Amino acid sequence: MASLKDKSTITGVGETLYYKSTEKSALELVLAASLSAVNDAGLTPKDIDGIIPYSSQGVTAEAIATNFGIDDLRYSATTPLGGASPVAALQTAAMAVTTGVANNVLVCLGRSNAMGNEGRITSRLAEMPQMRVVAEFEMPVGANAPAQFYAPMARRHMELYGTKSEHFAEIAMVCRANAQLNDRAIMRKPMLINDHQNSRMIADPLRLFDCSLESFGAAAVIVSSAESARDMKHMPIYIGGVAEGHPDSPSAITQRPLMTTLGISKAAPIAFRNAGMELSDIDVAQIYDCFTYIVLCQLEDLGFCKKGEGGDFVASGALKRTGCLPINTHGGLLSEAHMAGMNHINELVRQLRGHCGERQIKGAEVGLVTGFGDLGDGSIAILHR
Amino acid sequence: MQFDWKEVSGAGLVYSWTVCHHTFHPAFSDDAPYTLLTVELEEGPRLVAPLRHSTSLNIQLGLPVQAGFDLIDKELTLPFFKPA
Repeated sequence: MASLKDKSTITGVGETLYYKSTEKSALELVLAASLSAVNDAGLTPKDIDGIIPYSSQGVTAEAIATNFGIDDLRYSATTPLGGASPVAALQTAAMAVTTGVANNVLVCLGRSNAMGNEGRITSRLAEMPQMRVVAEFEMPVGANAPAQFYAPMARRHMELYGTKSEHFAEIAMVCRANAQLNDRAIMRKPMLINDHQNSRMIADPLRLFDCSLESFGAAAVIVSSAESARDMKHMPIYIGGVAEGHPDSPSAITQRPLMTTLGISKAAPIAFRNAGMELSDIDVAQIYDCFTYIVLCQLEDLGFCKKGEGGDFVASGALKRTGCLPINTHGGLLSEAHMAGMNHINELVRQLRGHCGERQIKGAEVGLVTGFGDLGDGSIAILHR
Repeated sequence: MQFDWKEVSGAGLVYSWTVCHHTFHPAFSDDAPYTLLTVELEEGPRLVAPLRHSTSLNIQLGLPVQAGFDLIDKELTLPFFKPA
């Protein structure tokens, strides 16, 4: 099988400011972030010949092509994996530029509440075809939002393995501490363990501070072939390995044979094997953090610790900036902004370029970014300088 | 995904649960906090439904429960679980 290893690179990253509320439309935001990524790559809008927009926000490849004046859009696609979409889109983009179908693929996402509540999570869910089983059998009895779908996964993990709310707090505090070094982050007030433990219960065992933000804005990346990247503005950041994975029983968490295992458990070995890397090669990791528990579960599924030992692993301090596996150096979805993980890709690229200033992890050469979406879909990319 | 209707006993064991304090749909505002059980039915499939007829139950994995039905109105009947 042909390998994608190091054949494609991320050449540009960009974003808008992140907001708690905005009057700007999703298209306006996406265009601004995309233009910023195009400039970062040293390209012009007309150089974009592939577009992968986020699947559920109503901003189409056609709308972007029209506004950018692209007269020969050769490739467009969507990756409908919820929060696993942006990293899964890197795989699709890598395939496109490696085979010569397109030269420069724009992957972008934008969210706006300007048209009312349509940007909010409960409204978005109702539109997703992959939620039909849940919509038919679980929403009518009162399971209406991700916190309520995922809380039973967290509860079962706690009951089986002795995982505690204080372990979840550790993840929230790491993200908040990192956000304090990031001007772009929405939540920068220091968080102590009591702040987490006293935050109100949303869906037991998930408290308010276990939940990510709902934010508005846009983020974008440009994927180009390794060959063309040599002439661009910044050092190329190579896509070493990339994969997506879907859990058993992908339409319903409830029916899953192992409720505490996610789709990334299938994708991670493929990505590492294709990249020719080991876990110990990872200098920095941006782990999808829609909820604290989802980070803990992914760390196990990635293999950084055994199933059930995630609590002890996070309690060891491993995830801090000074630990062996610094995560979410921008603050993550928990404290920077919820851009469905597109912001995780941008942060990893900047860490590997060495452009993160005060929050730079020294000597970061190899990094990992994950996505998690819907009912347990997973995606992973291993990037390096 | 294709489903078929099959009659089951309604007996099962608690597989996991959550207590919903924040509601995301106005239909449930008056119920909060409410407990949603994930129950493995003795025939195999799992079912999510609220816990009723118990306020002081010490929920744990493997707790035996029995399904019942709430007749909400002429059009709508929803399942619940109570301690077996």
